[in-house]
Amino acid sequence: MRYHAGVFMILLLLMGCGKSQDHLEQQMHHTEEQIKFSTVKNETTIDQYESNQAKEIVATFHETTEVFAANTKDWLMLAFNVTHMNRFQLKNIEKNVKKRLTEEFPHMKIEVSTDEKMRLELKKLEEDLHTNNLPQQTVEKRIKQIISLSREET
Amino acid sequence: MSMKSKPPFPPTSTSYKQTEQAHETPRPILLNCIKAFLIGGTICVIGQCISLFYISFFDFTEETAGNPTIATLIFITMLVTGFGMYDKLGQFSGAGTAVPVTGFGNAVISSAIEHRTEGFILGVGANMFKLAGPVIVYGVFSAFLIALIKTVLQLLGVI
Repeated sequence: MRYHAGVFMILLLLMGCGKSQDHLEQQMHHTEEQIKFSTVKNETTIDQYESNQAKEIVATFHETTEVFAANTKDWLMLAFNVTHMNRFQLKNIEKNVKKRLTEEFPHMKIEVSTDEKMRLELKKLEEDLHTNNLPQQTVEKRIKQIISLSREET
Repeated sequence: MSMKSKPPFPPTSTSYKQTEQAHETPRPILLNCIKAFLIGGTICVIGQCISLFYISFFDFTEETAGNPTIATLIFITMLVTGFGMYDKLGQFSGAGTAVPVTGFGNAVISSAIEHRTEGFILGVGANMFKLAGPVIVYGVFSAFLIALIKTVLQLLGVI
């Protein structure tokens, strides 16, 4: 019994840790089209050109699965999700994304997050920007709120 | 008589051990593992749901949602232990209910209930952390050691 349990455990471990060839190939062909992001129209009170551009840039990273972003005149807040296995390198990916965006938008203050809360809040903001013509102050207030949430520590 | 010449166990003890082994019911290790995995996993899924609830409906991030989630899980454990259901669940799944934070909560709450008759100070107060105390002591001590190692590594510029 003990022998069988041991063999079963080792098999489970091997199955869990092994990366199949299909999975590797799938990851290599993880193209821009598969990544979920929506472009916010630019006729809103605050031009969302920078955040739309940033979304396109982050979508080129093969680790990302979905990207949300919004910007004011000075701030760019971006939240993205990574594939399950890449969660081990979360900090590194976040650093690389921030570095890339800082190079692309040197005139802006950039905040990058992979947190679920930021993704939810930015998604809501994007939807509101799509449907309602939010006043500039509200957009700025909401982005500031999201940034302060992302800096919160336990 | 030197220690080396002594047999490790007296002959009666060895024969008793053999008899015991022959009559012992074999432990269903694989079944226990599966039960622990399923029940422990279910507790973790409930925890994840509570965490998502706090993230979605309150101003908690993934990082800060941990504390209220643990508090809620311990509160639920308190109720379940009080109603006498947690020990039955523990009997069924073993480590599956002991390893998550609910096991820690159960250890504190069940000893508080057990020693209630001895009074609040010498009964509940003195015995509440009898089992959970070592967890706190070694938890804090190992956290201190890890923090110390991290600080040294950061000072050396390794991380």
